[in-house]
Amino acid sequence: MIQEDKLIERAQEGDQEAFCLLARTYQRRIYALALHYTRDPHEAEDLSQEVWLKAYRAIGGFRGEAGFYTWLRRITVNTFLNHQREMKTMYSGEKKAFRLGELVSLDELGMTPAEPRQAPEELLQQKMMVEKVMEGLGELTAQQRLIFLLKHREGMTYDEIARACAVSTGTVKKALFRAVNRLREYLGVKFSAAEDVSYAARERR
Amino acid sequence: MHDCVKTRELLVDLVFDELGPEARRRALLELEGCPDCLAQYRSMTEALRVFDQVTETAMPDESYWPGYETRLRERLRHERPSWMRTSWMGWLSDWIGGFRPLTAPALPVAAGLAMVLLVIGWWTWQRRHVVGPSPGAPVVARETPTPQPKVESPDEVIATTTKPGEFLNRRKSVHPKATESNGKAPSVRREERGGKIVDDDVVSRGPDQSLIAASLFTPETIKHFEKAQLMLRSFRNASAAKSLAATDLAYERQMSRRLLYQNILLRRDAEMKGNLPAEEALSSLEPFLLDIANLPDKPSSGELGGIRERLQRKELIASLQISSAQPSAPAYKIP
Repeated sequence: MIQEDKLIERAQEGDQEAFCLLARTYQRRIYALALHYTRDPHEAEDLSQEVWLKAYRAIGGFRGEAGFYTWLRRITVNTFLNHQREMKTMYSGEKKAFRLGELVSLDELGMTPAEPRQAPEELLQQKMMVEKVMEGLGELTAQQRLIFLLKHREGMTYDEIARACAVSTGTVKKALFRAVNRLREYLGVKFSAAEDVSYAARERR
Repeated sequence: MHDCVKTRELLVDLVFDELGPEARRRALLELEGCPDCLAQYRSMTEALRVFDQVTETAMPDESYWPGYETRLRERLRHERPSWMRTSWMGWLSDWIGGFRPLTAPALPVAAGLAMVLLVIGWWTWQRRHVVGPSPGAPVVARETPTPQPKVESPDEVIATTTKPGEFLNRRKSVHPKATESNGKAPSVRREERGGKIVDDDVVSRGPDQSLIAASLFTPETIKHFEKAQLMLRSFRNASAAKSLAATDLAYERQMSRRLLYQNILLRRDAEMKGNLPAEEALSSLEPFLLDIANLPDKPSSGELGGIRERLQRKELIASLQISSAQPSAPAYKIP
């Protein structure tokens, strides 16, 4: 397997093949972020590819001071923020609902769930759960959604997220609190106090 | 004393692992003492666990990715990395014909130079085989010993001799600029009096890069490139010095500010006139002027090294040198 730095070097010289190999390493990760951010498979593909195009245009400026993925993530966040601004202008005040029908269209795209041998009922239940998650995310603003994804999926610190999104760490914390509560609500996750007597003790260990 | 409000404020930090080991231990102790807070904490972690599980199923399966890559390749085909978009080297490589290996950064420069050399070679060959001896050398009629009628066409110049018995009409190529005088066909004559060629009107000079630069850029732009080139050379040398005093780059910074202002004006002008090579050359210069102009009083070696490295990678000084190659004297004087 060709080393990443060699691929970067070749991509910086304009080798598109090398760049595509680089993209292959991270495309799922970027796509997943885009999918949860946009909640639409078509838009997710568009947005994630936009990230790659921007990365390709800018790869000459990559100096290797940070890791390639860190650099790419910076481009991703900026692309998402720009997308957010564009969407604001285009559909101000309009909320997009993620419907089961959209999940059915995943099949049209050749996107079937990871375990194809599941029973139809199970599949339906899964799709409904995805719908709930997406609806929960849809209750958040685009910025809150991005903050949540950067924290939960990317493991960035409060400070890193605050810098990337140009907000305060307080805003980051509020967004995360709101995101988790929305998910709790939509996924119907509730625990009674009685169930949790020994839970904290276990966690502490 | 347990405080539910305070504890719940910590829940997000706890869930997203933003607490240090000691703070985490204390927070969990607090939770142990309050079933309500604990229930909330558990439901938060559970929600995230279910989220992870569910979102995995929303991801497309393996068969989706080859198509994704194909579509990405297709979109990339119309793209160029920034060093090609912003520099006139990219324009040059496109102009030459989009030859695939020209996408490497050094190659458009090499191709450009090769083209310049070819033009010089062709010009020299033309002069030797068509025009004849260089100025100052004795004129010997080689092609047509007998007098020929004068032919004056827009792309021809007649060179005549007045030496008795030696009429020589020679055809010679003319720089396109020579044909531009008031739409009239130029009549540039080189006359030989008393065996000596009088070269008042035509300065025969071998063409060089300057002719190409002159045809692409305005004299003002060429002068600007020359200044920028000198400043960048000075910056490169100063920034490479091991012990860097704060005052060392004061001149370069000041000069950069002036050049930046001029650069913006020239770029806008080129943009308005649709002069793509000039616009691209000026666009590729601008970030460097901006970076140098905005350097702090005591720049770190990292900052300087970064600019120097980019300069080297983009081969900007060499490009400017080609662009600013000034004609040493006017090639043709058009009456």
